[in-house]
Amino acid sequence: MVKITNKEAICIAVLFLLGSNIVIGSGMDVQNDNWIAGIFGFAYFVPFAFMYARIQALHGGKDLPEIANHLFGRVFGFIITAVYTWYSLHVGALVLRNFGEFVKITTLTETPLLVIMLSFSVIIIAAARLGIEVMGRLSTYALPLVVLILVFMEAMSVSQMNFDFVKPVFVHGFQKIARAGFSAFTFPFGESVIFLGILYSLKKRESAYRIYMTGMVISGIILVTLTLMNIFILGPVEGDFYFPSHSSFSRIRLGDFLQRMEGTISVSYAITCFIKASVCLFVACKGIASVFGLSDYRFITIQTGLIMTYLAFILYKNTVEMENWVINVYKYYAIPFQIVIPLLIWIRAEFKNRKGKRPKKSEELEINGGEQEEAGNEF
Amino acid sequence: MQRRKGERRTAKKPVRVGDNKTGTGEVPKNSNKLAKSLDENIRVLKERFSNDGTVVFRRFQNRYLPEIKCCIVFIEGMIDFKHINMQIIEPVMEQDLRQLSSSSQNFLVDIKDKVLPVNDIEESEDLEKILQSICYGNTAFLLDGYDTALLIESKGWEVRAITEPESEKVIRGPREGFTEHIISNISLIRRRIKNPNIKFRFMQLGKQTNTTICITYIEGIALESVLTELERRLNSIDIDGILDSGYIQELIEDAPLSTFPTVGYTERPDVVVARMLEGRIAVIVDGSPFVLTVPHILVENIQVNEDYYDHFIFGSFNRFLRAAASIATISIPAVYLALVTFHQEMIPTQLLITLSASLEGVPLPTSLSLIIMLIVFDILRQAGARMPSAVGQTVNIVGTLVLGQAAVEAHLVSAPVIIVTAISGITTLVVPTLIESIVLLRLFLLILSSFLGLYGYFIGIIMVYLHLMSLRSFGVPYMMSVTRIRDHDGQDAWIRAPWWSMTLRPKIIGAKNLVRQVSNHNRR
Repeated sequence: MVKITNKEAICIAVLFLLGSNIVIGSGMDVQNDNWIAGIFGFAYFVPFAFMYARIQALHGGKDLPEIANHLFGRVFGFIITAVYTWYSLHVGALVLRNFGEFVKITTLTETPLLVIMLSFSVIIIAAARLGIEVMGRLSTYALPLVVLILVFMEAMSVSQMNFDFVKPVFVHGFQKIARAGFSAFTFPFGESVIFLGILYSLKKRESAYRIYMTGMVISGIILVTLTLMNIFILGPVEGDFYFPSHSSFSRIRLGDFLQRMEGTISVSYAITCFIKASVCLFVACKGIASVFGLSDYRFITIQTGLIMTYLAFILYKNTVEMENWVINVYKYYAIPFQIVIPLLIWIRAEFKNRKGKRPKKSEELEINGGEQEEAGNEF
Repeated sequence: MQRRKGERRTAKKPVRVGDNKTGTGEVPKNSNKLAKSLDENIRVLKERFSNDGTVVFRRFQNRYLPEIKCCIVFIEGMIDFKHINMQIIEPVMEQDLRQLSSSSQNFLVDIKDKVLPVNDIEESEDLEKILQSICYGNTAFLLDGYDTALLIESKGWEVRAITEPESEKVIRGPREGFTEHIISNISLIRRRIKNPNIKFRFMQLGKQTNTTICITYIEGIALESVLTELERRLNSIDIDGILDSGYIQELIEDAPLSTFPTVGYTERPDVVVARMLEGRIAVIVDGSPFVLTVPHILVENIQVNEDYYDHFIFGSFNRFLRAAASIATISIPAVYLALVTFHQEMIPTQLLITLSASLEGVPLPTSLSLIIMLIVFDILRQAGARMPSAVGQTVNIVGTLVLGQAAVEAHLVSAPVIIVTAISGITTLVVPTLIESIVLLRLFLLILSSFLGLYGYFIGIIMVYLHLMSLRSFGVPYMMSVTRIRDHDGQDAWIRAPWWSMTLRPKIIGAKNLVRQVSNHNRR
């Protein structure tokens, strides 16, 4: 069975959480207090991260469909698997659409959207087909690059910043900001519930906590810094831009030579969106394979990937509709997937765990011992 | 016919493990044995060697004992005449064998033991083995009245001298290179590892050519799993002829459809030995100066033996340049095209003005002219590699002046396109072993970026990366030590760490015996 190391999983997690959020920004509407809302969203997510990690830690080596079947039996397990398959397919499509829209508006204005998304989906399908191990190794390579680009760009744009834009802090009042923070919770942090679909391949089940925590902290810092920077450069209207960080980076001017560097940032957009969409596609394919009882998910990656691309194509009519969805609709749409069902799964898992604690303990030890041996043999 | 060949192979090949295509239970027929009569034996051999003018049958007798009739059979051109004259014919002809004959139980054995002053000699009754041996350049000694022949080592043919390999020249380092002669190649390796742990296993491949190949490894360092897998793959080869190690390389590769080599090759004994010391296994093929090594990973393509002989900082710098050049060579045309056609805003204004001025009046779109120029460059490269040196001047002039300057002056292509092609062309040559991949990848990326801009380039790069990630060479990940920078594998990937700090062998390949040196007390 394919295993990924903690480092690889963390890298995937960070890229996953950054994906498409650094492109279009969260749907927060508190202008110059957006960054505080981001911190709020981060804070809301902490207990949920523990919950997701706990679910995984209780079921080491099992992916989401297996957990659902194990906890709720065939029928309800089937329903939960189907729901999550849809959700990850949908999130994948959203990411693909976000990126396609970005490319279409900023660069390839005359290329049809479907062509952009189809060509992008080629690598997404290839990555999902090659599996989580390859994605993990790619991520360890890609994350430093993404962070490097972001740090470089942020350093370059210092001269464009106006630090007064952030004042007055807390002008929208605690309540409104706290409510806006919910937006940041659902997108991107809460989407990491999809991550339950790949964490089964960890070498140790306890590392789920570490992965959620580290991934969340790193991506949280990056996202809040990015929001803050956008506010510094673009002002309180930051949220009105379709692609805020792209717009703010395009203002970089260093002498005559370094200017209009936004092409560079689109590389990091592409990487993060690519990883996120491939993880979503991978989980969706796994889900479909489980729902229909297929032995291998690889047979259906191409078909599912194409479905995802078409879904992305028909999701919205235009960019404005996409913005509307991100700001006004998505946070409510995501509630059942990110809060309600995980909560149910977690409670059920805890009960089941309490009930069968005695025999489970020894089993757990055995599994761990065996896995460690395996890990030792591998290298 | 098929059966006979199989027997021949099993007879000559002790290493051929577990694979006998002809089956084992067959008993050789009488016709495969020699007869007692010399005339009969000569007749049989002549029949088998019919229409072959190079086979020499030399009959002679002892001057003191004329009833001893014997014959030697050899192939002209494969043997050393002097050796046969002095060491085989002369003793048998000139020595007084009367006493030996009268006291002898088995005269043939006595001749072998007491008369012939040669170092390598064996008896055989098997006709096929004798034929085979003659074909290899040995001499068969037949004696009337005995159904056994003596096979006497007498190989001798013209071989190329050991010279510095043309494809891998060094400024500092040993200048010996492999030749086409397998025994001298083996001696080149053996001379560097004076240790009984080095093993050489022979086998024959090629149903018609019967090419000798040799698997070489250091016992205790090489991985058994790789060795077994290599043997399995070699044994499953069923081709009629092997003319170069390239045949074997292609037949045992993990990913035959990939242009990235998963089997390494080199012309230098020091490189082979260095790789064997890291746990790799070498395959020497008779008739080819290129020795294969497995497993082969991507990073080996940018490792050059001179890195290890120069100062480590300079070596690291050179290696970094090689890595950068190999990335640049596939990227530069694609990125240039993307910038010029899709992302003009990223080009500084001054440069953009210059660029658009140079594009003025050029009929072809940049993408097309880049593709054409790259193909022209590859044609020039091909022509340069094969042309007789007398026409080198002509190709140079045509290449530089006509296709470069004149094309720009005639406004057929823009000057930046020529510059980009030239840079990309020069950087191709920095990593010669990857040239096949690079030339194709460059065009692939160029085409992708011609219709999707930088995103196309990005998609292409990710596809290549995913492909590399999924490759394995004999169970070893192809991208090993490229992706992991921190552990000891990284010491010899993007940089070349100093020798006193490289205490361990590479991770998976050298896993069997990881410690290269305990520590160097001079330095620490």
